[in-house]
Amino acid sequence: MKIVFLDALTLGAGSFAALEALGEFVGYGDSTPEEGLSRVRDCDVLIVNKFKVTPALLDAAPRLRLVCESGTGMNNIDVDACTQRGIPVRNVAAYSTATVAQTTFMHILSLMGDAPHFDQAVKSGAYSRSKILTEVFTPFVEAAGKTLGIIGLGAIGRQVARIAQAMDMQVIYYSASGKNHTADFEEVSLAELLRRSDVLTIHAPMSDRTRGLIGAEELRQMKPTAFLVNMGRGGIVDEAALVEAVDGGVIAGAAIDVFTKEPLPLDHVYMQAKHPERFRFTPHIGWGSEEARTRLVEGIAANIRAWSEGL
Amino acid sequence: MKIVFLDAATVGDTSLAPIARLGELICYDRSMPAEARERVGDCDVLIVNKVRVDSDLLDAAPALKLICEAATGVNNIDVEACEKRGIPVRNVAGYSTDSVVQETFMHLLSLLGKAPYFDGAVKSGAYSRSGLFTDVSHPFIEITGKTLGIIGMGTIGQKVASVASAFGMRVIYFSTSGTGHCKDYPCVDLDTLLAESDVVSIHAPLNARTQGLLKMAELRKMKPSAFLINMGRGGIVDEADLAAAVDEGVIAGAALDVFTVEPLPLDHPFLQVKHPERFRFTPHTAWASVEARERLVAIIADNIAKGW
Repeated sequence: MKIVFLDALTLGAGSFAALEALGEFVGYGDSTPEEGLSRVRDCDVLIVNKFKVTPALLDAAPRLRLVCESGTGMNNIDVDACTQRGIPVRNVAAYSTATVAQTTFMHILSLMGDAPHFDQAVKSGAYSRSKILTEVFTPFVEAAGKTLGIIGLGAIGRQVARIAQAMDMQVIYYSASGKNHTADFEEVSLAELLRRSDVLTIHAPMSDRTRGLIGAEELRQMKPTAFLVNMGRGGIVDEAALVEAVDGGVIAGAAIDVFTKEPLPLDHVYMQAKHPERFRFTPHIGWGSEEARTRLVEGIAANIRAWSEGL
Repeated sequence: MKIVFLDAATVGDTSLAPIARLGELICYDRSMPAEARERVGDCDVLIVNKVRVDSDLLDAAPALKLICEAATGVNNIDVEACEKRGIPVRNVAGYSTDSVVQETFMHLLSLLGKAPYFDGAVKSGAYSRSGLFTDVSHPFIEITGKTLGIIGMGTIGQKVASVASAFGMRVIYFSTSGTGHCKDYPCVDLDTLLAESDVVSIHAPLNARTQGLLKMAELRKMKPSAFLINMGRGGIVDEADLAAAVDEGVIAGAALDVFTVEPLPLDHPFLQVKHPERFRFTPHTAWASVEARERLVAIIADNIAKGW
């Protein structure tokens, strides 16, 4: 079995042993569209992360019998085209739940606790030079008793909800798909979520229902003391509107792990914010713990094994 | 009733109205010892945070009937001297538990998740120039399944433990009081805690048992991948040893909210480290959320209203 991974660099350095054990594994760090066409010529299994799987690519791979997404989102794969050619497509779900929940709280607590400000106050010597502690005080907000509003109560949203409850936060949620209902947490309309949340955190996938869900109008409905965290997909939030809202004090701050265009363009509005200190960023690594990466590679291998055993 | 608050600046711009309602409240931002002696002459109630209350000060306050600590720790008060004069001392407990727990996790997640590196990678444009949708150059540690070793399982320690459990961490603890009263998590000896923990978090008070508890020898017993968080008191950890241990890779990093001398001296080892990126600091502000400060003032008012 020949397995080709067209953009393996997206998983970074680390072992691909689980895939190497299954057959002839060829991992390309990255591939241009042209390189992709020639590289899939004799592969049985194709693994991609962001590389676009188009009808043209499928036509260039006569032996191709399985497409594996190296992740959960399959926006880069023309699934219909694969189905028409009788080629199954498999993704890996749930490998990053714990890590994304952890990164979500890293952002929430950094925003509420103004972590960089205080860290700098010490490292710069400002604290040392202060006569009284309060010279370096900025208000920091206690999480206990505050309301966490979740958009997207899937596996990740639920884990975030459970941690929030352990910190005595009130959890409310909005289901964009209209499918996630649970008695465990209070379901509300989007308007109510915007109005009541002290922290609004997005864990939804990109879909027609979530694209552009949060724009200037929605941000205006939020509390001026509220923070927004987007761990879902960049396009769910209007990025220019968000910068204007945070810079203008319409909301207090935001943390973003996902962007409409990745990597973030140098001239993006996020890079022009007047108040960068009110923002926290991670470069789409909310998922990126060593443990999650290992589970992802093992998940891809498990998909390949399951498919080949089913033949 | 005349109430004097000798170092009111320590609570920031929080309203003192609940206290002012009880009598005549006089506030001083801060007081040097000589100033303090002049200021307590006719007060019935004294409120202090860091100002030392010793026999000299008590002798200068003949009308003094009650001392209120604007905090939990009473290390600044000669409690024995107060007892001898029949002056009750009341502190405030529990007002900052949630804030300190939250700040503990703020530090823990920032250390494990390399927050400043990633934030910097985006804000500096490095991510933009990388050409890759994700930055996998710094894989970080997932805390689920990792071991949190708590030193000091009091109210704050227990709350830290329950939040850690929600993250899927395994919790063990070392009882600094020696009583091991918390039965929800395994109570182990210090060496075991140091050897098994991926994160060690200190929530103990400073006393004879905890002074200098962790020096280089103890830090060497920890995993090189482990992090240390001190939210207790500076003197519990040897600061020079900790600075060296983190710089040399004996442990992976540390976060501190408390220091032996506060504010941290400019020439302190923590400000001379080769790897500042392995440290996280808060200037003894973990207790000081807006909400905690309001609760502190309300409870001081209650302590006064109780009478004597």
